Amino acid sequence: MAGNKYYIAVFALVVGAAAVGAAIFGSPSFCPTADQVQQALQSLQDGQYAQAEREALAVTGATEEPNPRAWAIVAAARQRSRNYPAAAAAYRQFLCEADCPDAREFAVEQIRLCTTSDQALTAPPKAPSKRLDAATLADLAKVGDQTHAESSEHFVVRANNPKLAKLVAVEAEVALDHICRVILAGQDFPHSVTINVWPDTKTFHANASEAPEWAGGGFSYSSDKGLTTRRIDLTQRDAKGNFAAIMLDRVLPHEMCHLVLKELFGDSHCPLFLNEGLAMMAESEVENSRVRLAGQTVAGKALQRLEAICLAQRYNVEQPIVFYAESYSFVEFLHGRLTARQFRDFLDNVQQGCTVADAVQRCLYMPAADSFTADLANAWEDHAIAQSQYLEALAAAKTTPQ
Amino acid sequence: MVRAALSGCLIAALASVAAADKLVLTDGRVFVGTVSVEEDTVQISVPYGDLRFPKIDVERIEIMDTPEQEFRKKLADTALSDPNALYELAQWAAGKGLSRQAGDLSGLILKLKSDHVGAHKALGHIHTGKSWLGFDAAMEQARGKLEAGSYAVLLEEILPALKAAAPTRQQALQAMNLLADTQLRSGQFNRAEATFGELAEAARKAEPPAVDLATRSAMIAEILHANPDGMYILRDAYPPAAPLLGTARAHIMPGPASLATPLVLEAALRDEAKKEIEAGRKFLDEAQKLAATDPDSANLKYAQADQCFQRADAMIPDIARAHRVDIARRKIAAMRKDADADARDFDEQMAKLGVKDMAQQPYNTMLQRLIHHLDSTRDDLKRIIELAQAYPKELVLELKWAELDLTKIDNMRKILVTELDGRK
Repeated sequence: MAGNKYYIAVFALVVGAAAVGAAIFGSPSFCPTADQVQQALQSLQDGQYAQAEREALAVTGATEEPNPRAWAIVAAARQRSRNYPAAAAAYRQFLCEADCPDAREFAVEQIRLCTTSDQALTAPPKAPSKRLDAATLADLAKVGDQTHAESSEHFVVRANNPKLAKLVAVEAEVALDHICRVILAGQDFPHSVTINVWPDTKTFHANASEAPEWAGGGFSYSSDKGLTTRRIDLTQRDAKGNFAAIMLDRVLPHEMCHLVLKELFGDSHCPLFLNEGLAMMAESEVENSRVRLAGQTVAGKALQRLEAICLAQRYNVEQPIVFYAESYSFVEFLHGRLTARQFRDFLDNVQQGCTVADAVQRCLYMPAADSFTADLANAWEDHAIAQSQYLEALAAAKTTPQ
Repeated sequence: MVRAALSGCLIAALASVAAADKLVLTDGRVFVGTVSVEEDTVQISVPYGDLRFPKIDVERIEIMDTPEQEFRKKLADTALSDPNALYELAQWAAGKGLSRQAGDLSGLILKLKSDHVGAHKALGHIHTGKSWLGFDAAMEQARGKLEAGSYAVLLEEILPALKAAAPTRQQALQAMNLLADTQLRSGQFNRAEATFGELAEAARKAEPPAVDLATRSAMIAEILHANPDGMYILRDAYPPAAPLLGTARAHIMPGPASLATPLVLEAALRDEAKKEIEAGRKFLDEAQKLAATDPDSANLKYAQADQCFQRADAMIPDIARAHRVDIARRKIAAMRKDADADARDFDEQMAKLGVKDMAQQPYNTMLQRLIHHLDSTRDDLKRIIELAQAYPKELVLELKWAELDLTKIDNMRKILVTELDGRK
């Protein structure tokens, strides 16, 4: 009898649990604050950020049925009002309550963006040589008899000036971090690179035999019997005997970017425009003449330009200056318009042999469209012209008397 | 005039009228069909065949009118200018399974009285506002109302009528889909979740199953279940190319947005499609590793990848097409390898031919072996063409090469067969 009772109780429990389970998993879900959330979302979509924030805050703080997800609306409203610190705080509240990995990743990404946006408002980046005074620059131009070696996490720098070797090691780490983290969106580089700083152009060319005649720097990557050698060669002084600041500001990050791309692409082909465009982006300051030239040359014939750029090889580039300017402009356009994750996917797709248009469409997870290349060329043309016109306007404003 | 019109449309229907006789057997069994009496037997043609019984087993034969004959008699007695009398006859005809005649009568009634409710309903028309429309036209109008935001009239009047009047299962699914969309856009998230769930089930059970609709609807139901407040968080802007191309088309910024907005729902579906594509790409990578050593396992992985890509395409049409092309391209590359190996074997055998004198028998055997090699290569090329034809634009080179090679193989085969036949 007691046994029967026990079985009846177990049966009742099982039936009850099944009913509850069915109620949870089988029936549609209901949210009591859905209407208020929708109201706040409408305000957000309409650009009424203050109102959206108020409405969403009311839902997060509702005493009976709080909806912590509404912190995402509060955060977005603040972010779109450019109140980044407050937005980051709201995203943190949302992160505490987020129960799905996608939402958590989103919150973390937005906190990072809010933090970097806030820093961007306050501190624009500066080229390394701009931080040095005249005396230091003069010191850096000195060439001693001895070769000094300085090492850091990734680099062994050799130069005939101990201060310069130290400075190059520091700036090389900064440049590598910028290339891997910002430009290539999280590329690893667990390798060691030798950097040789040669006193002048003559010794540079004598030792860096693979570098073109006109170059002030070069990189090499070679493998022999399982041993890989990564090397960058630089020039310390210009033709007048002064310290070549361009070496720190442009040549070092430029060549390093080539080296990292070589590592990333391995045996696959990295299109010339991408290789050079990214290397120019790695330079610590934007070369405005390139931006102006790209805008001037691209107008009206972007599609032909884009197709030619994407297929260009080192041996068939007819006007190198124009090609470099356009490559920079196009790569900078792609990098600026795609998210970091998308850009990284784009590089991976190119590395796997996709065409540029296919690689972009794949990284955007969109159905392939016949008109995409033309649309991309048009958008780039607009961008290149707008950038060029902006610089022209700035230059005109500087020359116009007040 | 009316009678003439009616006769025109009904005569064809009545032309093939056959007698419907009732055959009652002594054991009580009854059959209805066309009876013909022979010497000692009675034969009756029924829909499933002819039956023959001895005369002594037959109790009686009743000669009866078929429904069509009865309809003709009733029609002759009906006042053809009276819509209500015609409607009565149409209802009777529908009840007897004479749907074509009933439909013709309903059409005629509407010529006499264009607002005859019964005739409209009998024809499956739907009353929308002031007018009666056929199912497809009513669906079109309902879609317009959805875009215009007229959710109340859709939910209360039009959609229930559409659902009830849908003439086929596919159209019933369309009506259900529209109902679910309307509930979603009007912010009834829990109801929309339930309707999308039902739609997924109905699409799965349809004949033939509407697989893409089932996958898409089930996924929307899941998305709504995970976001009961109707808020979805977009990780990227949508449409995804908008920030890159700077298109004038409206787009949604990354961040929280309402699933009641169609673009946001599309974005949510795209996120799910992305997950399927990523899973498919993992299978592709695994397949690539296996392809050289274990082609069967590699093909299994390709099939799994293809399933993922098909699910992705069901959510966002053609989003995974490029990856499906990758599968075809890789399979073609593997087949090419086989075909090339066959071609090499063929060349080796060919090189031996003519080097030394051969007796007829070994020579014929060698020719047969060469033909066998060519057949094997031809099979590979045919499979390549079959695969590439699914993506003619993307795999144009693979297709052309295979076609050219196939022509060459066929020509070579002809020469060898002629040589072999000549020798025999």
